[in-house]
Amino acid sequence: MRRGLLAWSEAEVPRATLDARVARCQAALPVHGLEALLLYTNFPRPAAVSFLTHFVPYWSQGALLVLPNAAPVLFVSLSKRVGGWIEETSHIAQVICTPRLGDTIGDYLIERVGAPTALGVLELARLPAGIAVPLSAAFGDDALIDAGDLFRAIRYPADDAEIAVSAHAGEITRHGFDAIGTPGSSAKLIAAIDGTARSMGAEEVLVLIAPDLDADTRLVRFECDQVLGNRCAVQVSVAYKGHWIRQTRTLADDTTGLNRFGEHLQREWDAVPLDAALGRVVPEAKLRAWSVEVNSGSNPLTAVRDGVPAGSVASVTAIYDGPDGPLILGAQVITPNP
Amino acid sequence: MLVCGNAWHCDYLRYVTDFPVIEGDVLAIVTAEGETQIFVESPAEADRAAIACPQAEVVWAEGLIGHVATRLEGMANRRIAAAPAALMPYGISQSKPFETMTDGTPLLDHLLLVKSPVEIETVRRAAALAERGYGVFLEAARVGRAEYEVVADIEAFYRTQGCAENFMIMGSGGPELRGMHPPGERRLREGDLVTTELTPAIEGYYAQICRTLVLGEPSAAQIKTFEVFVEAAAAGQAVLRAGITADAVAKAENDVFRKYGLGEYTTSEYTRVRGTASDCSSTTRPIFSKTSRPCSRRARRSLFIPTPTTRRSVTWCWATCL
Repeated sequence: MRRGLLAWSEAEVPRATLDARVARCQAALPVHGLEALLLYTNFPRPAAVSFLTHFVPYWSQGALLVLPNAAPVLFVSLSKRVGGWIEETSHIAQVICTPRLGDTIGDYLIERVGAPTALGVLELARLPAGIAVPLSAAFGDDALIDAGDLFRAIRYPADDAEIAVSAHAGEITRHGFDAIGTPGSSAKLIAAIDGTARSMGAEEVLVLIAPDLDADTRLVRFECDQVLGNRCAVQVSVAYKGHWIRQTRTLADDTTGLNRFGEHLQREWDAVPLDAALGRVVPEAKLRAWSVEVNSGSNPLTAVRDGVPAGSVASVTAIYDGPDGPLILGAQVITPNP
Repeated sequence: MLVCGNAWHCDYLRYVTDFPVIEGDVLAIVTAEGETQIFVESPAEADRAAIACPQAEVVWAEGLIGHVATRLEGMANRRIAAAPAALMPYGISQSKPFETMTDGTPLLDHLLLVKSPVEIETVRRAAALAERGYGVFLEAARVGRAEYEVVADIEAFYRTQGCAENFMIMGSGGPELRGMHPPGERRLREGDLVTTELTPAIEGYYAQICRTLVLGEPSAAQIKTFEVFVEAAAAGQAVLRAGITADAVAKAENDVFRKYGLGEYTTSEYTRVRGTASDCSSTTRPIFSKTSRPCSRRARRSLFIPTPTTRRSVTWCWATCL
């Protein structure tokens, strides 16, 4: 679950910003031939709903219904006793707490707009059957239409609020890395990062480690205390106000300068394609592999290969073969226009 | 068996594969011959699954749902059960193989309930860790500190113990407080009641405690309600045995409240569902709730006995292994 700070700061994510995002969504409905849009949320998949409303379910699941001419409605399988908390931490006109999400959403649609013949559902194939089956029973399978194209069309470019909170998430992450000190073992290292990030208001922190880069470059989350090798890599993912970023550092004597990886990459990528930019940033090493992750749906970050959206906050991670062994580096950048 | 899971609802998946998913959705096919196939949504999760489950075939596929549906079509001559049914992705539930699948949720629910000695020992270790975490909480909850700063201390402590997951909510304040939630920006004040649930996981097994403290000297009202609460909790524990229903335990607790004219606080407006949980997820819906069947003599599980909240002042919970 989410254990970090879940709080809506209107200074950082203004009401007007959220309203503008919803308005873009509503305007896109007729363009995509849809009468309404349903977006699923649980805490591993909060991103689409939090983008529009700032709501993140610390537990359980829900769905946001966007109608063309009304404020969105959140249906959530949480107790009514947390209704006040939901209202404090998000910008939603109406919250309906129900254990029967599919039936309740269906009844609501029938009462408000009549049975839809084109209900857009973001990531329809992934919608839990407990919600989807009652809707399909009520409106027919053909009435449920995947709305991925619509969401991708309205998601980018990132607005000022998203860029600012993502930058803040990056700052929190850097403080987490700075708190490592002498790592010793994985448990101490993770505790230093995790505690620092949460005390600075991180909504969530994930720390993965490749404990011995010379043996294996795969990043793992430990459920025990693990001895670290001479060269290890640490990937920290931080969520802040609903937005996620990842940064990765290689801990070894000779990589201090590479802590500015993100800054250098941003400058280079504005001028040349990504793989060339990655090569320029670490000229003494050979680029082995890289990934770019952005938010394109309900998952906070999804790897993209082709068609990286311009103006998005992207988390780039790269593996290099350096003169002293493998390096893993990563940072968040704003993707340039093609 | 076809099993799905994610970081929220990980119990069935973890039980079947021992893979602790972090990001995205995961589907797994487990055969009677012992073969395991794990399907993940990202290369990073594929790396983690390959390390956590070296005997499994791990597949990363874009279009995960379609890929799994195609794989299932190749198993059309097999009897397959799917769990948990309500969370199975719609794309799978609409596929041809799903037409002949049975609901495997009750089977896995039963397996989750009946614990082996090793599982019981793991839950006990998690319970001990929960108590130690509360010791950290007692130190961290000081006047002037924000709720999220307090939680940061406990989370850091659990990371030092190699505990990666914890379900933790809290509430602080006075009579205006209606429930617990993730930590907020509120700063603790003298006289606050501060309630928290701690639910650390060890190797995927969770144990939950719930405790309340008073910052500073408790008032007479707080002391009085605490005494009622302790009496109610003791009454619940006194009737607890294999064969009892959770309903009967709740009634024993509620009767104490009613004796003191506090019956309204036993309703859902102030208190929560009581029952048993299976420990492989921090809040798997209670298997036995108020209208429960008797607790089986054979079943070994953790029993969650929340006691009603008196005037929103005190919440007290036990986790007990029968």
